Amino acid sequence: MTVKKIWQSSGTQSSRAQSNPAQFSGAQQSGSAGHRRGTASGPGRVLVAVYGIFAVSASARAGYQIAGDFQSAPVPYLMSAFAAALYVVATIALARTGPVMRAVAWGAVLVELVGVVVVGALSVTWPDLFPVASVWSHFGAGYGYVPLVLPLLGMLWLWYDGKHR
Amino acid sequence: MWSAGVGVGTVRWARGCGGVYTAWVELMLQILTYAVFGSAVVTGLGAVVDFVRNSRPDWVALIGAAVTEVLVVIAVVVAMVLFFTGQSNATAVMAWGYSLCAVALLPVAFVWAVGEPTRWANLVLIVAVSGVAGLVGRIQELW
Repeated sequence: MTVKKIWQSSGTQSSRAQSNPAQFSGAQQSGSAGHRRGTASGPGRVLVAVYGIFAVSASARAGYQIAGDFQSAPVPYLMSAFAAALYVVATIALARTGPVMRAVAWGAVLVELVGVVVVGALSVTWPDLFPVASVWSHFGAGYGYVPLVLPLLGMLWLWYDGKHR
Repeated sequence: MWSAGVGVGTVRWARGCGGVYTAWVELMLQILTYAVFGSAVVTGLGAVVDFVRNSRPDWVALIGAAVTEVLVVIAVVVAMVLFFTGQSNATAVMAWGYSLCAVALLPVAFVWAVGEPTRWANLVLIVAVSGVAGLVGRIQELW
């Protein structure tokens, strides 16, 4: 019987812990019940990896742009820096556990979704505002729309993980 | 230290050899880029198989990641030789940034994947090899 099946068949966490403590602690140690160990396990592990890559690449890009020629396009450059900071916060918050980090992760992915939608829409309707491409321009088309999909996956995962906590 | 010595020696050698050898080094970078792509695809497919079979990454994944990493390191060394011999359009920040990220990505991601005892570790590996292939592709493009 897999750990997942044990978990599904035995109801709530507390009742199972009482009814079969040995099995419960074994499951905890083997760690095969992905979502039970917080947002950085199971599918969340992959999410953190993607967020981490975006955090590094967006930070590097923003740093390079701002250090290079900030004056030529301050608005998109500052927004790139803001997006990079959000990715860093989301990566750290998703990689850690606890209610505070969960709330921070929720905040980061929500702001990120609003950001990519608003900036994406503005870059299409009012291109003059964003003369240079940023992570969120055209809904993240330059990055294979990953910036648009990522906060949605993040929300889905936070919701799922919160429900099965 | 040893590798640094070899690197400096290679740079001096390439400088002394002139344009003919620059073309060679550029061709090497191109071939290495395709080698990284190939290795990344094979490693990624292995990870897909492990994911479908609901198993953790096995020794095949470790070897695949190791081979990819070795190829990435060689590609980055070749790219840096081009950079130090002035045969590159990249700025110093760009050159170092891309090189360090490309070399560091796979080991960091592998450690992160090993910490996950389920099938999902395979997807972390897929993300990592895709990322590193993209980085090396960018290096080849930008240089």
